[in-house]
Amino acid sequence: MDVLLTAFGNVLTPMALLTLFLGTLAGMTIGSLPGLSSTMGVALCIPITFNMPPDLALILLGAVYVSSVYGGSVTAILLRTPGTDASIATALDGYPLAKAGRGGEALGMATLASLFGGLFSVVVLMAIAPPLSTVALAFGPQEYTVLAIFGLVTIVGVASDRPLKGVLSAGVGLVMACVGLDAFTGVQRFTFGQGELFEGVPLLPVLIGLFSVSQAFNLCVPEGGGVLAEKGQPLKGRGLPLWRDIRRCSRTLLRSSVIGSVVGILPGAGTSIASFISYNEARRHSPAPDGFGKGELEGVAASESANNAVTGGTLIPTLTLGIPGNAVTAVFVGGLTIHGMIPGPSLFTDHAETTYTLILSLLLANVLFAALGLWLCRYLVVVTRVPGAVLGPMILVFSMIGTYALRNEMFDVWLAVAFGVVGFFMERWRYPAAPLVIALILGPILEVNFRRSMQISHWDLSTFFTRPLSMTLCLLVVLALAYPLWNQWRRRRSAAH
Amino acid sequence: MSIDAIDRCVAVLVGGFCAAAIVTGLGMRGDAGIFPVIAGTLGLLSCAGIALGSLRGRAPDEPPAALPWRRFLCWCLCVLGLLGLMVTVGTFVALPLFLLASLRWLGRLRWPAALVIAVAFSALIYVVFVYLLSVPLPTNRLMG
Repeated sequence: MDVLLTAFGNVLTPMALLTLFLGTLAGMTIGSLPGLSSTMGVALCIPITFNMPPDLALILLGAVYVSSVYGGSVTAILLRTPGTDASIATALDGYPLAKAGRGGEALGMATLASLFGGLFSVVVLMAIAPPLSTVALAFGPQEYTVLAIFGLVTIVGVASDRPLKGVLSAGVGLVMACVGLDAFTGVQRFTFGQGELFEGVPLLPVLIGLFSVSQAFNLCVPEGGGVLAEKGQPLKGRGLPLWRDIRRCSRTLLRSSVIGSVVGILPGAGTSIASFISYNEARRHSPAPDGFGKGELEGVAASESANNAVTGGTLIPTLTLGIPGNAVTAVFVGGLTIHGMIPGPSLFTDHAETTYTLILSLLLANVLFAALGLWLCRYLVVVTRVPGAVLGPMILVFSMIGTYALRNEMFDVWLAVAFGVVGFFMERWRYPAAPLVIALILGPILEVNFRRSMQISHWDLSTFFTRPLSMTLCLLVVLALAYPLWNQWRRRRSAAH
Repeated sequence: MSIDAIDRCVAVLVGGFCAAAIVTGLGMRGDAGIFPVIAGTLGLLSCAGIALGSLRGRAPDEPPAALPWRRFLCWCLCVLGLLGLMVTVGTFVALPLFLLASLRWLGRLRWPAALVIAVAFSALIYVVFVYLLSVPLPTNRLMG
């Protein structure tokens, strides 16, 4: 208790509050720019923290981390240019709402959902971090294989009303995920001798191409194009969702926050899986599932609460076991080490004050970005009124420079532009782009863990059904596959009656 | 062109790509080819499904709105010009030129407005990426 009170005192000093404010603002800006990810934001801040006391340094890194995940939702909703893969699911419903002139409501719901998810995961981090991290350790290659399959099945289901087109998109993504040097045999696969492809097809240029560059094409190419569906359409009233809407989404918020926190604990699982699984669950439980993908506030709430709940979740194995769950937390571990703190159980004993200062600062950063977001959303929404041919070139420039900034390679910029053209035609021809990107993320996880499982079990496929955790996940995959078919059958039967 | 016809073309094109991945995967050393074969098969099966679905007699989907080819090509030329100029004359010459051209010809803004936006936006990019984030953007290669 004393430790907690001291940590409170540390967070509430004027210097700490200023650091928190600047970190939150920087994180929101970084998250909203295509190409600038949370990882990059945290990495860029590490040199700044060299001369800072450890508690201030961690406050800055924590604030940048949580607010950058939220920042991605702003551009995903208003412009359909998700800054990171975490916000792809948000764009599915957020952008149709913005097109209908309800961008303010969508942003308000995204902010409240992010706040809820973020706070929930920090409470989980404080309360049950050590026991939950042991569950994460029980995940072996078999469980990761089935989890990746579950992620893919879920995404194919939610991304399109034509599942076969989603499967094709995911199939192409999986083939692209094979590109590069094979980690097991060292064989070059589909690299065509290009050095830039030895490490695989870079994810962010593909993501930026399919979503941001293609959106620049969508805005610029049609005569008189723009975000709003109709020219001169008024922005519909509220900058915030109604209390009625928030109450309607309360179950979704809670469910998605639990999913986000649990998925966050699993190393390598990532924010995109959490947001898509939550989105699918929200749609499955909704009395009006057909509205999803066409502008449903509940879809925005599901995705945003899940991706922000991941932030606290990923810190659980990082802080308690020293195992970073994703790239951001790996950078975070670097930040901790620089200040003489070795991640692991000793953080909660030897450096308890600093560790709890970090956790409390995450709590405050969530509140701060929500306050800033709710204040700004009524002004930000005006961007949807800018003509497409003015907005498009700016989005393209930001996307290209952001892509170049990732590795300082013009190859990545060409790749983003090529995928921009592909994405433009995919949207016109109604092929969903989200399964392709998610397959590109999940492909390596799926392949590496599948091959590890096969090596361990000597190519015995029953290994996936003999472990309790893996078996449970297999059942979830079957349910995810069977539910839409059952639903379709039920609807046909009721139509026949 | 109807959506069904487009689907058939896509199925043939992507199906060929997936078949090539399968054939290449089968020739790979060790178990390196197993995943390309699985992924390619998944893609090929979905192509077959889409092609068969497009041949089935069902209510046709609404075709996509006609593409304004002139604007599309003009925009593509602007983008290619930007990419080419970035690596030859440098980012901060290419950016204002690209913005000016696209805002003027595609956005139909007046010259002064287009010029102000182009210069201001390029300055913003300079401040964010070069000054704050220290990203070494491509510079003038012609001048060494």
